[in-house]
Amino acid sequence: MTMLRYRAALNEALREEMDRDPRVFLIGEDLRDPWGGTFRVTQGLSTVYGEDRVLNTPIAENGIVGVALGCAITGLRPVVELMHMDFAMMAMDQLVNQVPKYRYMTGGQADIPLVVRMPAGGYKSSAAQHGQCLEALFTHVPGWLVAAPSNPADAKGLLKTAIRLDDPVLFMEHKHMYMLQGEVPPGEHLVPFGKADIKRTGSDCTIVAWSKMVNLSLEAAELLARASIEVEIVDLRTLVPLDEQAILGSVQKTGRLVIVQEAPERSGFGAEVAAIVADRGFRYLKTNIRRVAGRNVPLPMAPVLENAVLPQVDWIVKAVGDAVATAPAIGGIR
Amino acid sequence: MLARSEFLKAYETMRLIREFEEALLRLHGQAKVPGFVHLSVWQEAVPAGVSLNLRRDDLMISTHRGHGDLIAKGVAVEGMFAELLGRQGGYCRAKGGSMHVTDLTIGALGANGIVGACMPIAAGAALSMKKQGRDAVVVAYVGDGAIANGETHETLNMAVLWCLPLVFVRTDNQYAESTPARTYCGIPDVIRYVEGYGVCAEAVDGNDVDAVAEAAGRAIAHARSGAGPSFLQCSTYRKYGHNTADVGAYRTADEVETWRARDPLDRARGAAAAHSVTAGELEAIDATVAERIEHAIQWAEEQPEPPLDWAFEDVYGDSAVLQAFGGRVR
Repeated sequence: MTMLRYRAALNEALREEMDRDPRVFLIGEDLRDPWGGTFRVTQGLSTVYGEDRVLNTPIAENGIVGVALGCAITGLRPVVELMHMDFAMMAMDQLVNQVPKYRYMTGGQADIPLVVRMPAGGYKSSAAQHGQCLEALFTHVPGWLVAAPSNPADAKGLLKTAIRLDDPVLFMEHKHMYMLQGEVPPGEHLVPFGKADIKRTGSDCTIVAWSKMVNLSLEAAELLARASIEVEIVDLRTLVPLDEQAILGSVQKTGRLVIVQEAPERSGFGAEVAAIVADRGFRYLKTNIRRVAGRNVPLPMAPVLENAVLPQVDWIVKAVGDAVATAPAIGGIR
Repeated sequence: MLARSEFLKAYETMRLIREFEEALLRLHGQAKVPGFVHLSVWQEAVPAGVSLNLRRDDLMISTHRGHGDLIAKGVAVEGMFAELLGRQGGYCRAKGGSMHVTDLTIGALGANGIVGACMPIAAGAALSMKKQGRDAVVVAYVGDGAIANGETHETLNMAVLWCLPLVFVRTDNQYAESTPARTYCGIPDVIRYVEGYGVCAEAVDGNDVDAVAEAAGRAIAHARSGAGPSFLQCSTYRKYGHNTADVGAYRTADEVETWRARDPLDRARGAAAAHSVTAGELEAIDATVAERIEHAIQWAEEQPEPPLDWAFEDVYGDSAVLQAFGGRVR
C-alpha cells in the first residue's frame, strides 16, 4: 500500500490504463501540461504519452462528448473530462439523447467504451454553477453506469474498471476530496461496479451514502459511538448498478436507515434508495426512513450560507440519534 | 460529367430511394408503419452523387430524414423495411425505427433524431480514423436547419482545428420543418458562415447528380489527402411535408410546381443520352428496382414481431455489468 491523494490515485489509474491499452486517450478542456487539468488530475500525462493521447479541446462540451462518442463507436476508448459537473449541462443532448442510447437504438451494434469524468460537489464556496451534485440526472437515464468514489483507493479501482468496461460510465469525482489522502493498492487494483463497501459495521442504524457523504458519515459515526450508538455505513461506490442487497441486508440487521446525500433533497438519488427500502425492506424498519440532504436551494457562496444548506456532520448525528431514539413507529410489527 | 457506368449506378440509387420512400408513404397510409417518418423524395441526387465517391470502409452519419443517405451508402432496403415496420430482421432489432437505422458493418453510423447531433459524432469518427492511421473519410449529412445549431458550430471549429477527414453535406430542402431560411438565418448564404471557420465550402445544385458527384468527389479527395474538412451546400427540395403528419401548407403551390420541374430523376433521364445511356436501360433499372422493393416489403411483412425480451436487451452490453444487474436489466 502507498499513501496517495484522491487526485493522484485517479492520475495513477489513467496512467496504468493508458499503458495497458493504446486505444485509451483523454479528451477535455485544459488537460495538457503544464496545467494538467483544472484539478491537476491529468498532470504529467501529456508529457509522458504525448499530445495525441491527451487532447485539449475548445470550450464546447456538447461537441466534446459527441466527438468522444464518435471515437467510442469506431474503435477507441475515450476518457472525457468535463471540468465541472455543472458544465455537463452544456452537453445534455449528447449525454442524454446520444451516448446512453446508442447501443440500444442500434439494436446492440456497438460497444460504447466511454468514460466521462465529472468533478462535482460543494463545500468550496464555488456558488451555484460550480458545485452541484447532479448524479440523479444521470441515474435517471437508462444506459449510463454511475460511479461516485469516496476515497483514493476506490477512485483508482473504480476508474480502472470504468475504462475497461464496454458501457458508458459517468464518473463523479468530488472536488473537495482531491487532496484527501488514503492508502491505495499499487498496480492492478480493480473495484467492481455494483458492489457496495461496508465502511463500518454497527447494529443500531444503517447509513447509506456515496462520494464525500461517506466521509461525513464516518465522522458522525465516531461521535455517535461515544454515545454508544453503533452505525453501519454502506458506501454505494456505484449508483448504477446499485448494490440493493447490501442496502437491504444492512437495514435488515439494524432496522433503521438514514440516507445521506449532498444534492438537494427533492428528487435526489436518496429518494430512490428510500423507495427501494420502503418497497422491499419495509418489514425490517423499526422507524421511518430519514434523509440528510442538501436543502432545496441553489448553492450560496458565503461559507456560512453554504454550510447552512449542505449536509453537516451534526445533521447526520441528529438524524441517527432521532432514528435510534424513536420508538418503533409501526408498533410491534417487528 | 459522370462516366456511363457511374451514371447508371447513380440512377439506380436514386430510383431505389424514390421507390423506397413512396412505398413507405403508402405503407404508412395503410397504418403499417408505426410512428412517423420523414421522407426525402426529390432529394435523391444528393446522397446518390456523394456515395459514388465513397468506399465501403468510409463512414457516414445522417439525420432524421436519413433513408436516402443510408440506402446510398449500401444499407439494404429489406432490413430497413423490417426495421420501420417494427419486425425482426430490422437493422436495430425494431428498437430504432426510421430515425436510427444503422449498419456499422458498412460504415453507416446511423440516422439521428436530434438536429445537429450527428455533427460532433461525425467529427469523433473522423478523429478516430486519423488516430488509427486509416485513410477513411467521414460524411456528415445535415439538414439546412442545423446551420443554426450549436453542435454544428462547435463541430465546424473542431473539424478545422484538428484537420479532420470530414465532409459536411448540407441537404438544403429550403425549410427547417416549416421555417424558411430567411427567417432563421441571419446570413442565408451559409457559405459565408462556413468559410468563416476556415472550412472549404462549395455550393452545388443538389438536384443535378452529375454536379453533386463532382463536387463531392473533390471534397472527399481533399479529406482523404489529409487536407481537412469541406462543406457542400446542396440546394434541393422535399416533395412532401416535414413528416407524414405534415402536408406542407406553408409552401405555395407555385413553389412546389417549380421544384417538381426539377425532379432529379427527370433531370437524370434528360441527361441519359449525354451519358450514352438509353431510355430502355433506365426503364430496365426502374423495373428491377420496383421488383426489389415489392419483394422487400413482402419479406419484411412476413417477419415476425420481436419477442418482448428484446425491449430489455442492449441497454448495457458488458458481461461484468450485466452480472452486477443480476444477469439482466429489469
